[in-house]
Amino acid sequence: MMKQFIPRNLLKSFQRNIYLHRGSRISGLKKHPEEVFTNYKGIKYEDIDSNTQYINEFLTDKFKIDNKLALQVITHKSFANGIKPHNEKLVAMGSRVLNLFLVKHVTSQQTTNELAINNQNLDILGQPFSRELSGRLSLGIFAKVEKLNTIMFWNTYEHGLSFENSGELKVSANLVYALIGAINFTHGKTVAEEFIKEKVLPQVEDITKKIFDSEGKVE
Amino acid sequence: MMIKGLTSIKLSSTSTRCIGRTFARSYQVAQPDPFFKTEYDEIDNYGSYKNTRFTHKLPETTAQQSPLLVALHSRLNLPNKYEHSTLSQALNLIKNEGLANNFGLNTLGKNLLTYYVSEYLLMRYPRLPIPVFNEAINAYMGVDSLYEVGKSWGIEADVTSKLDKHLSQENELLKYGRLRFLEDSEKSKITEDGIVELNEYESRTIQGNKFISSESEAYASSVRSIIGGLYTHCGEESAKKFIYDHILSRKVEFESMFQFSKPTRELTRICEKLNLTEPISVRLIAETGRLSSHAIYVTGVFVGNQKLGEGVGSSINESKTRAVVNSLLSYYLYTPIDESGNPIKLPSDVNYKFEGIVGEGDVAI
Repeated sequence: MMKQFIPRNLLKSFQRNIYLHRGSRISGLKKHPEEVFTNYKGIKYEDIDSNTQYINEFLTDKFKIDNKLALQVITHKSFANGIKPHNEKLVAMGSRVLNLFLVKHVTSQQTTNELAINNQNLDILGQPFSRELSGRLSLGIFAKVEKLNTIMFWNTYEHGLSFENSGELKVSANLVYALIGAINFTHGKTVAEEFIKEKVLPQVEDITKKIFDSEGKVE
Repeated sequence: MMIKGLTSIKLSSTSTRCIGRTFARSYQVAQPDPFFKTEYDEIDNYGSYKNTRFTHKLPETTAQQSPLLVALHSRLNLPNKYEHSTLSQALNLIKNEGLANNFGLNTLGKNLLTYYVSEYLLMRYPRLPIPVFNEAINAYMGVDSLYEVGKSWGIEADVTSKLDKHLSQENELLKYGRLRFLEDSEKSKITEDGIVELNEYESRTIQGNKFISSESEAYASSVRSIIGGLYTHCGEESAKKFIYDHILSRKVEFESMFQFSKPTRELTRICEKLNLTEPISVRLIAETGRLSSHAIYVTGVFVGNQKLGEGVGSSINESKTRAVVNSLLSYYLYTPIDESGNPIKLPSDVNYKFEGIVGEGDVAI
């Protein structure tokens, strides 16, 4: 026969004191939340308009997303050990939407290639230019030019390094993927593709062209 | 590197020294593959790109005379609009014969597959941890899975040499319905039982004791290409339906993909992420036969008065661990449903309305 037990501590509450450490990291000590939830520019992680202003300004009403989701877009998994909602899943969604859109976009242009299938030139696929359209370099620069990455919540071991070496390039590119992913989640694929076509593609094509134009070849 | 017109952004083309460390540039811009001998008018004139390595396509009239190709077309129930010559191209991986191969179709199909499989997983299982999510993608559209799909479609590989075909008086058109991935020199290689000689591609894919064989990759590539071909002739909706019918209809066991090294710590971190302020407690709910050789304990994991999960074990510790693992599984494998209890709509569905949740990402353990 099964015995029923009454849990010992069900009604008993207890208190404990934890020292919250400020300053440089010391193994074993819990850091003070105020420090953990502040980015390297001193901006506090909060669901307020000022944190997501650059994202909201970039999106027109048609593509508007929830402020909470916008905050998730600008939060990288490196921030506070991933304890706050971060953009990993949004990046996964956004990068796939973007890649699929670009593949459809580049193959659907008018062509004279006799090997095209149903007037779709597949020879452009896999070419450096078409690959770099959704590459980290183009999108990282795009985020910087559009000031989307002005406020981001992320961490690196050395923020003083260059745009690329500090990891900001990669995190910024992820922000763009995440933004597309967030629009896909909120409004659906058709609207996300319109967003790419209207707000992302023209700039990214220019940037990618400049990357390839610089001295003919990128080192 | 300095990008003209974007003067505020500098990307170092050489290494940078900082605090005694050297940082090499990690980003490598894609380079053209000289093999294809690609020509174009302007770099951003997508329609002008041409891989001059390939000189011709199989004429549709010839393709329609290949019995294997017609049979495969019917077996897959492909629409009439889907040309047999495209299907034949999807089965061709040979680079050196001048006949257009499946490189572009494969890329197209891969992108379609990646999107629809990811969309399905991200919406239906929004809390899957990224390593499990990647494993699930692999289970649906990895090389091994697509190899099995290709085999189940009855695609035959072309493994006989030109000489063998000539000696057996085989109809030349048959080969256009077969999966062509071996050069003639490779077909006539002498093989020995128990000994596998890896080619260049196979050597690159070695992981532990396993490698991806050229045959598996060829089958996977043909499956992806057939999906790409469907998009070119019949549009995205047809391709999506085909992916759901043939790829996402397969049952994948997500539970077996999880492995927890520190389940209790992971659960604590998740509760912290979810802002559950009350502490976690693991409590014994019931037991029987403590003094017998087959004792059974039932343990529950609680946050305040909310039960997260329950586990049964033959020792208290086992039941505790099972309870914690079950709590984690029920969190990670959560599937949202709509108001009427049906699975929620996906972003690519008509009249999409967001009803699910967005995965908030993994926590560091």
